[in-house]
Amino acid sequence: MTENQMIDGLINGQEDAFRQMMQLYGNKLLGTCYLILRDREEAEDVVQETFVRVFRRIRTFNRKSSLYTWIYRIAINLSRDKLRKKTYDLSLNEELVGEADTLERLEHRLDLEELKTRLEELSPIYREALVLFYYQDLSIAEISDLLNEKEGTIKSRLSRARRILAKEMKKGGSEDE
Amino acid sequence: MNRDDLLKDDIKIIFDEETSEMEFTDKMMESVLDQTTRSGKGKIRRILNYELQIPLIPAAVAVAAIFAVSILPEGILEKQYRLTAIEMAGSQVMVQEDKEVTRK
Repeated sequence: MTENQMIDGLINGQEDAFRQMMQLYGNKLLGTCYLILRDREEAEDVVQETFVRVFRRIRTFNRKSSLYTWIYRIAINLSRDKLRKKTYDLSLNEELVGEADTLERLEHRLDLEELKTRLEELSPIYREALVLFYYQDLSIAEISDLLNEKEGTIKSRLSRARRILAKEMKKGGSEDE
Repeated sequence: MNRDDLLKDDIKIIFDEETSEMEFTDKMMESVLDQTTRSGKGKIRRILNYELQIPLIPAAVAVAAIFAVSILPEGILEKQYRLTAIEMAGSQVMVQEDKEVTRK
């Protein structure tokens, strides 16, 4: 079944088309939502709600972007709503942005467990960009389209996220010494 | 491999590890199907979409035919010949109650 056939099936309310869509995107979508929300149950709720919304709104899908991007946009927006409800601070925290040369000092200090902790502590807005870029393997242009942001904004977020991680890793490393 | 690549690879490894056991299960899929295609709305949508699949031209012709039949005055297509014979001075004149009157 091609993407167009699948979309037609979804519009016609065909169960087969829905099954195929969920098999195709379910796992990756769940992983993405989990990485953003850091809560398995909430991620499962968001993914199920995403598919229900796809069913309700498929007629509004104009086929200008790919179905994949459209579905992810719904999921990301739902995840953001969940995060807002949990009163996470989604604002950009400029104070956390480190100097440009911190990456250079990371040599031989990258420890996965440490990095994992730092990733968990990272502001959701940066984590979201990292998840879409590194986990989803989306390009800057695709992320920009999905989040409805300029490509420069996405590049800047990714760069800042890496710098924050680098800075935090450096801090962690210094404390150990 | 430079430090940027190393950080990138490590982030990827962490994300993959953290989500390795995440699975969109059949149970979740069934739950979504119950709320969508199997729901009352889903069934209605299928019926509506089936009707929309009727070819447009034959459907339009059928609608036009029904419309024409319903607005035309009754009996307009029937020719009415109400002939009346009038005796006038030993001869008969045939009178037809119609706009097109012809002499026989």
